[in-house]
Amino acid sequence: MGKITRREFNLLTTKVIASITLYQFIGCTDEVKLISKGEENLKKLVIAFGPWPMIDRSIAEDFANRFIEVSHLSQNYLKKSVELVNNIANKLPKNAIALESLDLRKFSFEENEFILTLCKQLYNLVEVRYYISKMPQFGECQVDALFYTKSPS
Amino acid sequence: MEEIKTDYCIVGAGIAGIILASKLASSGKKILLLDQGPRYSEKDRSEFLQQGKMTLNDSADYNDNLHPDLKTETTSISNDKNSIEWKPLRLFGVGGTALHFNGTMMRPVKEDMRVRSLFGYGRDWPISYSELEPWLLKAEFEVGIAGNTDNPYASKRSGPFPMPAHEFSHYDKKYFKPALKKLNIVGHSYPRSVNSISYQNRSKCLACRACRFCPSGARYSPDRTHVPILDTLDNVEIISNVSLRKLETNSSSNEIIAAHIVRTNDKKPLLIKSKKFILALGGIETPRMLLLSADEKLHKNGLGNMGGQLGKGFSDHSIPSYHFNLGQHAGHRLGFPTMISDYFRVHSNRENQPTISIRSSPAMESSPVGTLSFSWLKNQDTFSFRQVREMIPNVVTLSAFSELEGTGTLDLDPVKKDSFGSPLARINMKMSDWDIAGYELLKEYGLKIADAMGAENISNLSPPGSGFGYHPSGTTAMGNNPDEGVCDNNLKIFGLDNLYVVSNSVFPHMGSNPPTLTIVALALRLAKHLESNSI
Repeated sequence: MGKITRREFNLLTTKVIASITLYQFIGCTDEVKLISKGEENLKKLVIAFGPWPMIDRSIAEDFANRFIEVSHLSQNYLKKSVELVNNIANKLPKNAIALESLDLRKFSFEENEFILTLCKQLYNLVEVRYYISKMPQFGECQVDALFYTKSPS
Repeated sequence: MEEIKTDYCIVGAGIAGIILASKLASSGKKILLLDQGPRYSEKDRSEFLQQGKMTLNDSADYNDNLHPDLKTETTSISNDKNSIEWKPLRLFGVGGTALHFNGTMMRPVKEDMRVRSLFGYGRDWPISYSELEPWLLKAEFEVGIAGNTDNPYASKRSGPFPMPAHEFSHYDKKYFKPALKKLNIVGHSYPRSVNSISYQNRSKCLACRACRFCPSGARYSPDRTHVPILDTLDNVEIISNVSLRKLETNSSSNEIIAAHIVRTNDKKPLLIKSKKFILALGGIETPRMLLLSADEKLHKNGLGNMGGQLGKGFSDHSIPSYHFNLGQHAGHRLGFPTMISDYFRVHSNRENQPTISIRSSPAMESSPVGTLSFSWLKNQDTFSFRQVREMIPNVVTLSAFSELEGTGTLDLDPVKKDSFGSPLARINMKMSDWDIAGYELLKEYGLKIADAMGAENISNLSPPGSGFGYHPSGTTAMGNNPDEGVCDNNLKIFGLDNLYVVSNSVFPHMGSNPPTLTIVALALRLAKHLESNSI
């Protein structure tokens, strides 16, 4: 995957998200409220699509909060995608967490594209991958430094 | 103007400059070590790591918050169909790129140093492997390399490694090594400057996998090992945040009389007068400074460029990679691969194709595993998160360091300048048909290895030129005379009595091994030469 760094990848994917949702932004609606609502709904999506089961809901929420904060800092992600995020969130079960699957026929083409892009971005992140692979947390020294030599089962 | 007088002025406080300074220090001579970047503290390291985690920035790095003016850019020719865009991945700061390198410390094989004579491409080194070998061994002890003498393809060594290799991962033992064996290839230990046991008062690796910042200190970094010692010495001064602008020659054009420096915080000038100058600025800034220091006499085309060799032979490693879905949990990753194979460094028809070294591991932290997993699951109506979560631990990376012929060039950009008004280095990176043959070699054997592992999904091989930017080399090559290179076999610039260079820019040719160990070996060798030709 060569020269594309993860940061570049993230920028690239969020640009895609921004571009497909631009037309859906409602210009006359109060922007602050939209962003605020979008944040909550984006958080809902991250928790629903992520790998954390109910028992780890606090981990999921902490991750989602940081994910949203970073998205805000890096570009107009939420601002331009908020309507789309809201539509998708409204089609998910209440308090959805670690969904097993999603019936894509319930979503529009743009919503499908958004979900796919968001999920790729999410599951590329080391923190998510390590969680799924049951790896010790990144950056934490290990008492059993030979854990990597053992069978993962 | 502020002026400093010294015996040795070393410009560039990366791994080469720091180790050179530490060896010269015992002479008692005055040593001045300069770097354009800042000094980073342990607190900085810790904060970079924490900040990266908090902001989900898996690429967090030392120079992220450095003022853009201090990160000298390069430009790259890429509009020519034969040229590939090239961007450096170096660092500015005391410790240089070794602040964040992953500690790969492989040796050349003896044939790498005679490629012109033996195979008809590239340039021969003016010194042989047997002459360099004792210095490679010293370098391994100087920085602390973990490795075993289990590599059947290695050239002769005069002693063992200072510490044992890291134990092979579950993946290596269960999947990679058996797959290689089916192809009659031996997988062996991967020499690395990460302690497998406590070494020189540094911890053994504690498997945190954040190698860039290495919280345990197990991974060698010159600012943690040699610099603290230099700081205690009265005859050594380290100045950070200063930028070399030009070296000034005398009226006879045979000696450097001063280095013109600028303090980067207030742009105040500083003049350094030294008996000997050594440039240790890495593969880009070293040749650039020689070009920027052209005079009006012997060195009118750049220092040491009487034969037109300065900027020629630019090379790097292409590092193409595959990703496989193994179909079962690949096991956990230490933060770096623990096995590599040098098979294709000696079993390659080098007249027609380059050498490659192959390594594999559970997917690297930088791998786009999510993207791959979603793309490998094709159900148009349903999005199965469960299947993605099951697949992610199964994804592995296979990649290679691929040798290049060295047909690139470096010159000064006619338009773009740095923040001090000097032209930037311009790279024209090319891959010849011969270079592409190395890519084809990995393409073929990568699929065979995947097949031998029983892989269920295989990504496309990343394009030729993937991974460029780590190992720029070759543009101030050692040679027997100015028609062959820019410096002699003692790294002294041709035509100048008191200017030396030490970096991967002096490599006449680079095999499929990363250059860092050889750079350290050359720094140790240069220190010995300078000591024996005392001022």
